[in-house]
Amino acid sequence: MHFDLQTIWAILIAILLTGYILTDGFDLGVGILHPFVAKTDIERRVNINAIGPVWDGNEVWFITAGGAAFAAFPEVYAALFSSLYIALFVVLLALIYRAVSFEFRSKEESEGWRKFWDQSIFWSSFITALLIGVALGNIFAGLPIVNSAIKGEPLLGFVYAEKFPISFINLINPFTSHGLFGILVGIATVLFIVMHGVSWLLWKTEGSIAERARNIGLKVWLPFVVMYVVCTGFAYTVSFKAGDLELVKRTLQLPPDMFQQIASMIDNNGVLHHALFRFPVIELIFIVLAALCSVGWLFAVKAANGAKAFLFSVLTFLFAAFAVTFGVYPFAVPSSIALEHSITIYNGASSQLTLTVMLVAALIFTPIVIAYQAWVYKMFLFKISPESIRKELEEAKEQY
Amino acid sequence: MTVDPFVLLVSRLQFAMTAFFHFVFVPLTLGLSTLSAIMLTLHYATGKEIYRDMAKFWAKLFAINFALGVATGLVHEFEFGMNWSVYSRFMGDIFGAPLAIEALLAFFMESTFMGVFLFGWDRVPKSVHLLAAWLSSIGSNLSALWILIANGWMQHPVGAKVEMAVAGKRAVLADWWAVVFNPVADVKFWHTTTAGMILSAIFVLSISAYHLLKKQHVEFFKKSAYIALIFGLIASVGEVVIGDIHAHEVAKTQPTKLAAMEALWESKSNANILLAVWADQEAQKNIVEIPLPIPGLLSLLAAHDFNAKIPGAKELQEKFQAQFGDGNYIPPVNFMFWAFHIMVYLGFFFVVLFIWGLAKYKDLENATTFLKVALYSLPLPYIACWLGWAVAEVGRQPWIVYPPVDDYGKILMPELGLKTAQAVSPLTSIEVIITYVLFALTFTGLAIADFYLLAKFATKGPEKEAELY
Repeated sequence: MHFDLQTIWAILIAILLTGYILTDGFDLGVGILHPFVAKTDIERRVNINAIGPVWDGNEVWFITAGGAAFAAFPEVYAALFSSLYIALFVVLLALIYRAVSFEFRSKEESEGWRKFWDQSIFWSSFITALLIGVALGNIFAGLPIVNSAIKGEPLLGFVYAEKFPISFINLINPFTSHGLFGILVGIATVLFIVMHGVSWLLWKTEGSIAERARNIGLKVWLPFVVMYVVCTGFAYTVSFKAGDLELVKRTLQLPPDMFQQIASMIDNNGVLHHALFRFPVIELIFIVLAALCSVGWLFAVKAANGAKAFLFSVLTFLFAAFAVTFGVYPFAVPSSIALEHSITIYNGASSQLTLTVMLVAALIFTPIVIAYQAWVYKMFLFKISPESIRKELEEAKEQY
Repeated sequence: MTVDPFVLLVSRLQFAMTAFFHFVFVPLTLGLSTLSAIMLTLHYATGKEIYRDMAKFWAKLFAINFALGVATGLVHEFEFGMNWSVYSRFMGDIFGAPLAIEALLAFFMESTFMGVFLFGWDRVPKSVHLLAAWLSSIGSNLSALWILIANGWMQHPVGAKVEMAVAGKRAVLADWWAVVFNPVADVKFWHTTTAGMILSAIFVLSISAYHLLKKQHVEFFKKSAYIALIFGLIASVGEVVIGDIHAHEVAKTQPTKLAAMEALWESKSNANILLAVWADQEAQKNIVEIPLPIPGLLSLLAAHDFNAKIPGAKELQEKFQAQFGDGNYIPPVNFMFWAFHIMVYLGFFFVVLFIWGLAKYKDLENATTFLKVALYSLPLPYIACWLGWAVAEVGRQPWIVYPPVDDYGKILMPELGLKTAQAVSPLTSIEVIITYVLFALTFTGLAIADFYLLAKFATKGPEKEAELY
C-alpha cells in the first residue's frame, strides 16, 4: 500500500460507504422487518419512530459518499452511474419512496393510505439493500467497461461495452460471473441489513417488537454466515485478463512497485488469478474476525442485549469491509474485458490539488459530523414501546 | 463521437423536470426553517405559549415539505453521473468538490439538527433545542451556498485549466479560492436564498390570510402574518438590490444571456430597457417593442454607465461563431425576455404586497381585499423562482459550461467551454424514456400527495399533537 492522496481518498470513500451501511443500514433493516415485527397500527408507529429522528441524517452518508466519489474519482462516478443507469434509477426510486413513506404514513387516518405506505416502507428498504449489494458484487467481479481514450476518443471516458437491455439483465444474470457475484453479495447484504435492524430494535424498543425482532434475528444468523462464506469463496476465484501489459502499465497509472507486484501475478496466458486476494493473509484475518463477531452478535441477540448486538453487527461489517477494501485495492472498477480498461484509484482520480483541498475539508468536518451525530444518538436512545407511544399520543390529546 | 439527439433531448427534459420539482420544495425549506427558528426564539425569549404553537405549526408544514426536497435533490446529485457522464468526468475535478462539501458541511448539519428540532420538544434543554433550530436553518442555507458555487462555476468557470489525462481531456482545478469566491456564484447565493425568504414569507402570509378571512385563530395568524410581513419586506427590498447586482454580473460574464433577456439584437450605447417585446428569432429583430422611457437605463444597470455600449445578439453570434464554429449561440429570445421580465415584475409586486400588508396591519382581520390578494398570491413566488431558474439555465444554452467571459464579451479560455450536446452519457433511447416517464409519474404523484397533506394541515390550523411519525 502507498499512502498517497489517492489511497487516502479510497479509504475515505470506503469509510463514508461504511458509515452509510452502519447508520442507514439499520434504518433499512427496520424497514425490511416492518411487516414482520409490527402487527398492529400502534406497533407500526413504534417501529417507524424507532428510527424517526435519525434516519434522515443517516441517509446523508449516502449523499456524501456520492459527492465525495464525484469530487475525488470523477471517472468512477461518471462511468458507474451512467453504466448502471437503470439499476441506480431503481435505487433512487426506492430511496424517494422510503423518505416520503416515513413522513406521510401517519399524517392520514385512512387504513388504505397507511397500508400503502407500510408496503412502500418494506419494498423500498428491501430493494435499496438488495441493489446496493448487487451493485457492489458486480463491480468487484469486473464490469464490461472500456477506456475510450485508448481508442483515441478524447471526451467519453470509460464507457460500458454492453447496451441496454443486455447491460441491465447481465447485472443479475447468474450465467455471467459479475451477475452471479452480484446476486450472492446482494443476498448477503440483505441478510446483514436485517441483522443490523434487529440489533437496533433490540436496543431502542421493548415489548412485543423487540421480542419478535429477537426471534427473527436467531433465524437469519445461519443463512448470513453461509452466504458470507459463499461470497468469500467466490471472491477467491475472481480473475482478470490482461491483453497488453505495456498498455496496462500506461493506462492504469499505478506506482511502479505496485504494477510490478500485479504483473508478477499474471500468468503466461495473461490471466491475473485471485485478483481480489492479493493479500491473502491480511484478508483472511479480517474475514475470520468478521465471522467471530457475527458469533458474538448471535450471543448478544440470544441475551436480548441490544447495545451489545449493535456493537457486534457494526464490528462484523467493519471487518468484512476491511477485507473487501484490501482485496479490491488499487482497483475501483476492474474491467472484465481486459485489465488495461480498468479504472483504478490512480487513473480515475482528480488532480492532486483537488484531492488536497478535499482532504483538508474532510479532516476538519468529518470528526465534527461524527461528534454531533453521536451526541444526537445519545439523546434519542431512550426506549420506546407500544405502551409508551400510546401514552404519548393520549397525553398530547388531553392537553388540547 | 455521435450523440443520439433523442437521448440528448430526453436527458435535458429529465434534468429540467427534476430541477423544477426540486425547486417546488427547496425555497420553502430555505426560508421557513429561518422563520420557524425566529418563532422558537420568540417563544424562549418571551415565554409566551403562542410562539411555541406557532413554531410547532409552521415546523410541521416545513417537515412535510422537506421530505420531497431531499428526495428530488438526491436524484439531482446522481443525475449528473447518470445522464451527463461526459460532463461529470470532464468537470468532476472542480464541480465535484463543492457538491461533496455541501453534503459534509451542510446536509449533515441540516438533517441531524432538524431531527433534534422536530422531535426534541421538552426532551432536550431549551438552549439546545433553540440552537438545533438555528443550526438546521443555517445548514439549509449553507447547502444553497455550496450548490450555487457549483452552479455558478457552470455559468462562469473560474480557477480552472484544461489538461490531457489518461482517460481523456479534462478540466482541473487551478485556484480553489477563485472557485469559492466566484462573483457569479456568490451573488447567485444571495439571490436564491433571499428568494426563498420571500417565498416563505408569502407562504406564511397566504395561509394566515386564509384563516383570518375565516375569522379563526385570529391572534395566532395575525402574529404569524406580522412576522412574515416584516421578514418579507426586508427580503423583497433586498432582492431588488441583489437582483440588480446579479444582472450586472450576467452582463459582464454571459453577454448572450443578457442580450436574450433584454431582447437586444443590435449592439448599443445608451441602451434602453424594454417593457414588452415580441421577437423574430430567425430574422434577428423585434417585431413589437415597448421601451421604458428612460434612455440609457439598460446601459446603466448592466455596466453602471448611461453611455456604455452593450453588445447585441447579432454581434455576439458572429463573435462566438468565429471562435467556436457553426452553431446557434443565442438562447430563445421571447422565452428569455418574458421569463426574466415576469420574474422582475413579480419581484416589485411582492414589495408592494408587503408594504400594503404592514399598512393594514392594525386591523388585518378586516382588511378583506388585502387578505384575498395575499391568499391568491401563494403561487406567484413559486412562479418567480421557476422563471428565475429558467432564465439562468436556458440562458446558458447551448453551453453546459459557459466559456469564461469577462468585460461584456471578452472570451478568456475558449477550451473550457463545453456544449450541452457534447456532455450527455452514451445511453440508449429506451433507458432514458423509461426513467423519464417513471420519474415524471413518481414526482407528480408524490407532489400531489404532498400538496394534499400541506393543504390539510395548513387549513386545519394549530392543534396539539404528539411529535411522532
